[in-house]
Amino acid sequence: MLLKRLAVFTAIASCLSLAERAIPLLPPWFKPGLANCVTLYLAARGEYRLAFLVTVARGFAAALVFGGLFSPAHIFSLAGGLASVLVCIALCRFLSGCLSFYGVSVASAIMHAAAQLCMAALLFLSREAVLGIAPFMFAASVLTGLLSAAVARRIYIQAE
Amino acid sequence: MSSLRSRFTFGDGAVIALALALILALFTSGGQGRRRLEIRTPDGRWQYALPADRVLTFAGSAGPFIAAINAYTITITETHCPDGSCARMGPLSRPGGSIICIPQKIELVILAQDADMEADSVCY
Repeated sequence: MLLKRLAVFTAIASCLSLAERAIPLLPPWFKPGLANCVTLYLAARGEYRLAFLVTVARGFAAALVFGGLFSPAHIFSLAGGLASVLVCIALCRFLSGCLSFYGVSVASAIMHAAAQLCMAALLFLSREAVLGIAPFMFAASVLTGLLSAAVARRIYIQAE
Repeated sequence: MSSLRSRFTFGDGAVIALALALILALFTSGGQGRRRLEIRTPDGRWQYALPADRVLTFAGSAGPFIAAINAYTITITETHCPDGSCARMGPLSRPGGSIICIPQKIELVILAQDADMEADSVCY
């Protein structure tokens, strides 16, 4: 049963992830993060293991589709995805009484960007470059986090 | 099942306020003094004092890479990377700002010139 649900949610998340790559004229560091709606929805339902597995699986699915398995882009995506899903699960598990979808989603998106920046600094970027791009990535994360939260909340309310 | 609130809460406001404070701190932490442009390629590093007015050409991993400096603003005018995303990042002018072209393995960074900072190499 878990495998079936994993396949379904991974397929949905992968489709969303691939669809947002078709959006033209976005800076390379800006992704709307539509696939995070799936992770947030699952974490909000308390399906933490599934949320984690879907995040990892969709990272590999996207990398396989674009032929970039274990490329820098894949490593960034995996690092960001793991950081964001772990924060999302932790907040849903321990702070669900005082946070809504919006707070959890923004915190996850910020952690996603922070993990990607840390990975970039470890792999090949200088400290100046990371600090230079960080405020733009964090600002984008707040916006995309709010957007993902609105979508995930809507799906959650409809589904429940 | 988690009992995540569906309406916006005070906690959400605190998370967003913290995020905005972090962004503001990072925006204001850029250097205010004289600036240098540093270009890092697989062949080495070059630094240029700003303001300057010149066109630079480098051999990237995927072909020529041309950047134009106009006063404090650096713009990528030609690159041969697959999708040209480094050129789409727009002009670079803020201290700490950078343009990174991963396919070309070229990084452009504007450094704030601290009085005690030793340059690896300087080209004029």
